[in-house]
Amino acid sequence: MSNTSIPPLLAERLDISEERARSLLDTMVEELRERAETDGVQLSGLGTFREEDGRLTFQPSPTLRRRVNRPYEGLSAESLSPSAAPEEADSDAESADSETPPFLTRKSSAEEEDAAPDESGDPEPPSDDQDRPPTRPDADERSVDSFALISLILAGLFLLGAGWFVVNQTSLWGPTENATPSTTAETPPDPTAGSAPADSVPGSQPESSPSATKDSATDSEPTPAVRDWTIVVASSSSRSAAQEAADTYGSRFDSVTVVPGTVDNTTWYRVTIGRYTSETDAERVLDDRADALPSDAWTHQLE
Amino acid sequence: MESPSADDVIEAFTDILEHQLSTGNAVEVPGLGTFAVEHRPSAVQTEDDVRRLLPPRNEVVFTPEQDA
Repeated sequence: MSNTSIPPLLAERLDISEERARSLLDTMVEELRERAETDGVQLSGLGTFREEDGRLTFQPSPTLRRRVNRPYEGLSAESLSPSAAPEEADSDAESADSETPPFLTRKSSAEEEDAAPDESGDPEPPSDDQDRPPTRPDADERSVDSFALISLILAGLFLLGAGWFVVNQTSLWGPTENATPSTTAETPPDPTAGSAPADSVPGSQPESSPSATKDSATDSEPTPAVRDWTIVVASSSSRSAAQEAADTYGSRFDSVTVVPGTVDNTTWYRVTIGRYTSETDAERVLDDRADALPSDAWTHQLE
Repeated sequence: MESPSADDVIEAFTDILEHQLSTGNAVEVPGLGTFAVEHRPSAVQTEDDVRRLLPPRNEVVFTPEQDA
């Protein structure tokens, strides 16, 4: 942090000599100290000077406090429950050391839990088993259930394949030319099969492909204005707590989102309302909706 | 060159201080004192068995000139 002397800056700003600026500054300071001794002096946008116990004090204005706290705007103190506090503090410390956001830390612990069934030898848990608690007795039961389910699926697939083979060999559905569309109909997830039926003209296929249509649509989209200003109504170091606050405001405002941001190597979650193209627009909404917003709501520029 | 008014001086003084402090610079005002910005990191505060997590913040600190 550098220490700046104000007379040269004042001279440049007022377009006067440094000597003249120093003289004007001396006059202003003398007046300011005299008034501070009696009832204090308030300089708009800067703060208030007072003489207390023979010592000059300065109380910065909210505007100045906000200005020097731009990187931390919208962040507010939050209560920690006695049991949750150490965990929160630990996660903060970890994130401060490794720059890992808290939600990633939580995810890694969840991954450890998910790893338990794998270590027990469970080959491939089906998707409908993911909600079960990953304890070992349940894992054994799940292993049996999974085996039965997989066996049933394999048996079903075998029967389908056998049926398809028999139908093709016996030509129950007429000539072989029509057999291709029936096969296509059994595989709906394949987009190329759907767009290229057996009787279509080969040369027309690339022109009617979905990707070409998508590209032309992308080219015609106008460039949207950058809406990087928002209003912060709450903040928390916990994503879940921020989401709770967002749910509260979600019933009253349209676009409520939780925006993570790294401050001092710690991730904070700001609850934001709206997106605006300029700070002026955001402040206008802040004023217009003051009755529905908290008193400490701040405008904030997203990074 | 026209001499600046008292309002001009106060406005310029305020703008310069705001700008310098917001960029992290300390400002020395002869006859008055030094303005600076100090960083306070995030901390856990306990009051009446209630723990609160305070976010990090910057604080404006004023040190009056001793001889003034």
